[in-house]
Amino acid sequence: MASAQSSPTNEAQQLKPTELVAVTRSHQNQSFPIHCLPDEILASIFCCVESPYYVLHVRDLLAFSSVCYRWRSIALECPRLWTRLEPLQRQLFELFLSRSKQALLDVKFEDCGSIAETNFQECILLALSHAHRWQTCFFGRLVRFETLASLPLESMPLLEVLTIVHTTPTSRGGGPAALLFFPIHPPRLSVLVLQGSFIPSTHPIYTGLTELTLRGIRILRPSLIQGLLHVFVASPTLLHLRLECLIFSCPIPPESIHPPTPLIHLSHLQSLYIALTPTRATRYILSRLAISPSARINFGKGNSDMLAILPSRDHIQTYLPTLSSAFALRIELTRLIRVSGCTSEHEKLFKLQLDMRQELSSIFTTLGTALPTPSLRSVSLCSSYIISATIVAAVADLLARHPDITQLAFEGCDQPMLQILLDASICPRLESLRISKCLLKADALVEIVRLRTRPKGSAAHGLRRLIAKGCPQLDSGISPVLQEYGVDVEYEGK
Amino acid sequence: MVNLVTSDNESFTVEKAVASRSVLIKNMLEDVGESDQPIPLPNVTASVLKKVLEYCDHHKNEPMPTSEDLAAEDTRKRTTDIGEWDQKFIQVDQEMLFEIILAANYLDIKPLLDVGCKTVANMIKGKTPEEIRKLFNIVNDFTPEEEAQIKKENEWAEDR
Repeated sequence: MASAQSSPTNEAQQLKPTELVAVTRSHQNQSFPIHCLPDEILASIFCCVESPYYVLHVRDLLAFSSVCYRWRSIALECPRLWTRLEPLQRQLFELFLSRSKQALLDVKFEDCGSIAETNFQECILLALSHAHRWQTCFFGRLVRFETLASLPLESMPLLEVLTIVHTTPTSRGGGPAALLFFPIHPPRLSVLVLQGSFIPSTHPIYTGLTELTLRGIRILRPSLIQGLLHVFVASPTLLHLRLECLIFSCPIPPESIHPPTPLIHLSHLQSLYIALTPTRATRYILSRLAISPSARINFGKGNSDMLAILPSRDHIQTYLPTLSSAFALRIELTRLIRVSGCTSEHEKLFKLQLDMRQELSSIFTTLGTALPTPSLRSVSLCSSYIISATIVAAVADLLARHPDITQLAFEGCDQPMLQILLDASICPRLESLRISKCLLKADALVEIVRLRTRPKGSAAHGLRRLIAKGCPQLDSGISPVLQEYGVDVEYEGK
Repeated sequence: MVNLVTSDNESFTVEKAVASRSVLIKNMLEDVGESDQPIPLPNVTASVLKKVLEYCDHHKNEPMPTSEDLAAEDTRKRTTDIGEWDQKFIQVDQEMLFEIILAANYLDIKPLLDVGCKTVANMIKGKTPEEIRKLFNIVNDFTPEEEAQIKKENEWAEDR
């Protein structure tokens, strides 16, 4: 077709009838608007189509290369399009491998459900012969490292992202066998995800990482806890650290070590995520870390006791500054309890997710005590439960311990909670109050505003702004009444 | 202010910050320095430039993509996600869509080019070759031999 399309008229006369038809149709295609797009833009468009499901991804690529002669040429001349490899079918795997030419590869070996295990292993072997151009690699449960370890392997000089998933670490030998498979450290490796298997901490694979995820790792011996920490020491350049579902089958050391071991400084860390890990282990790990003031800390599911996961107040203030520099706290009491802290610019600092097993009032007691909050100026409380008198008292206590608070927000709270504000000694510097979906009578709100506003011209700060949204007991008539006290009122519906 | 002249000889006077979303115009302005001379855009018609300037005006306060951003984009996985405003903006007929893409390419406005490419990508995603042909009025111009080869490649998909 390519030569036929560019042939002069006299040569075209020598074409077979079927080829002549094809040439005529190609000329016809040139008159349609999409033809005005240059090849490199069409290639970019093809590259944009990226389905998370490999089957759909393959279908799309094969479809693009089956539309017309021009589209096929563009698709086949764009190696980047064919670099995603999964063992769906051996012939297809080979086709993609050859069309990817010398481009960097993203290989993923996961059970696709339809491929026979022999084909699966064959695809791995095929891909291994191109290991020099692997950029990302995902080894799922079916990969037999024992077999791979005995093969002469190419190095992986360009590998940047490596994921090893083993849900049953002992049956497939994910740990030591995987170690044999990676005898040399891929020099460009920066992202490592290990699930279900733990490569010994002395392995050079941990050096120079910027992202590390350890998930579903079983810690059987106390020495492995030290090994875990050693991994962090080996990667001082870490930007993102995720620890999920770490299972400890050995005693977790107490927080205080005598003599104290040196702290692990992760001064570049931007995010730390810990979830589904025993509270004592979380506390221990946190007590060994010294992280950057800008690192965001996120405690995911699996925590029941806020006090139990926090290391000492001194340690938090000195080495985990993210946890102690919140300008604003948001406390959500829904199916779970979420406590999040952010800066005055609304940048998130930390998020704690706790299940409801903990005594609710103790959370409010922890804030400002075990969890230092010297910069706290704003508190937002959101509840979908009827709050007991004990909790109201705990919230009142929290606010009383933070006299510098200037902004308060209540959502889904009822009158007893909001009546805290009838005590003018609580939050004496309050400037902004937001209530939404709260049950509060108009006269109670008027009384709160009356108590908390200052006469015009007064040097002292007082309530200046009030937002009431979706409160069923308040109607629009409340706005002029409150404005008489010099408050800027924003009212929106019942 | 900057004066832009289209291929159909229409003039547009726009803020420098708006015009400078185009790397081509930005470089021209830097080369020429302070000048009242109109900038000719021989590859862009007035109707297309009007749309392009609407985009540039909406995004004028956003940071320009750096060379590092562009380099990283080549290696990062692409997505077909498009912002809400951009989606509405790009709801135009096919001819205008391709013209916008060409203009964005010529004027070197990478984010607009991305929006255009992603829009076309979303149009073809999940479609069969026949559906794509129908969508863009493309005629199947394969020879029977090429057709047979393609059929063989695609056999895999038939039983799925």
